[in-house]
Amino acid sequence: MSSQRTASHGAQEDGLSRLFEHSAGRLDAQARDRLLETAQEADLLAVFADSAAQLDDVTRARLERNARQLGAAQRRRRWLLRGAAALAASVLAVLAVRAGWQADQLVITATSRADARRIAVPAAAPQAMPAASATDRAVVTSVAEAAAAAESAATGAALGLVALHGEEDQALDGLELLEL
Amino acid sequence: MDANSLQFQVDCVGELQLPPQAASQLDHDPRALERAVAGDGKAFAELMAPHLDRAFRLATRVTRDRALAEDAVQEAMVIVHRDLRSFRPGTSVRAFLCGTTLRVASTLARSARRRTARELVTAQPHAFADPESATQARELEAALAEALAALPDRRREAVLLRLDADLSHAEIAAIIGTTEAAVRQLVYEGQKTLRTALASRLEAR
Repeated sequence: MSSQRTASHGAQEDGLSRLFEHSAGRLDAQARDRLLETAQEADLLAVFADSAAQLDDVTRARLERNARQLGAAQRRRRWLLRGAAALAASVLAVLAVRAGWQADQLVITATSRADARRIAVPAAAPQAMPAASATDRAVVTSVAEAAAAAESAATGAALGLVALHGEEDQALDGLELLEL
Repeated sequence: MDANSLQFQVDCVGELQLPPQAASQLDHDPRALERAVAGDGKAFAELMAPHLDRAFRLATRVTRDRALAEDAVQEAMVIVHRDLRSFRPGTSVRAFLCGTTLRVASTLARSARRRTARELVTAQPHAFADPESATQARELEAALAEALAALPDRRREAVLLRLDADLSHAEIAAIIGTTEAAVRQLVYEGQKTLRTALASRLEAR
């Protein structure tokens, strides 16, 4: 590359860099905290990313300890795990079940139907809603469906798991509906 | 993302042969890396923390959806953690994370585009004090997205890894599987095209 072209290239990159910088997505503090928490538990997440993985005793003990700590902190009968960190949500769902949380409903929001299925099917859904088919118990696409699924789960199991596909506002509305 | 696509990404990352950095330019503490490899989660978080902003910025550019971008960075970290044992001392952690993030984000974005348009939410780059600034930023973000979408895939990847992830040409070459000289050309041509497409916005600055 000639020196003239290099200089031109540098100026070109500077202008575009500023444009990119100005329009860049910024990580907010809450999202940063969530990601750092994820990093600290990355080994556990990896266990659940591979559904065929078998838990050894040490990992199981860590999971249960984490779940107890989280449960003690929450002390609620219903939880909303936001879908922005879908993989973390799926792990929390597993933690909840393994620790024997006595929740009426566990609502996980997901940004897509595929994500909702990915969260719910390998996690707690089979234990939570044994009568439903894998797909039905895993994914709902509206607040009304979420409420209906949660109601039916509550009659047959201590913990109902609903992965709600939709926007966060909808999910929060859904939670309020479930609280009724 | 299904198991097959995740495995595809893991395989791709496993093939990454990133160039070593000089000791004085290392972007991480080698002792933290050792502790992370040994299973210390806090050490892994220490390794990731300085690079989260760049990885998120890259993922947001690719997905145009903050939630999806956060998922992409998260899943990229899980993959990086899984491949940590194959990480060669002296390699850039940022290149490792951003290369993986680019692939995960691209996969998630492709899946998202196949779903309804309602799910595609324009990224919100900043919190703006006034509506006019917010509108200008959204217009700029949309114009950039349109210009980037018009680039051939490899050219776009090279430009994003350069301008959003701030990687060297050598690191980009390792990630996209080509020579450093080819990356210089890809970045040059990509930026030239973007400059033409965004000329009025560049002149306004």
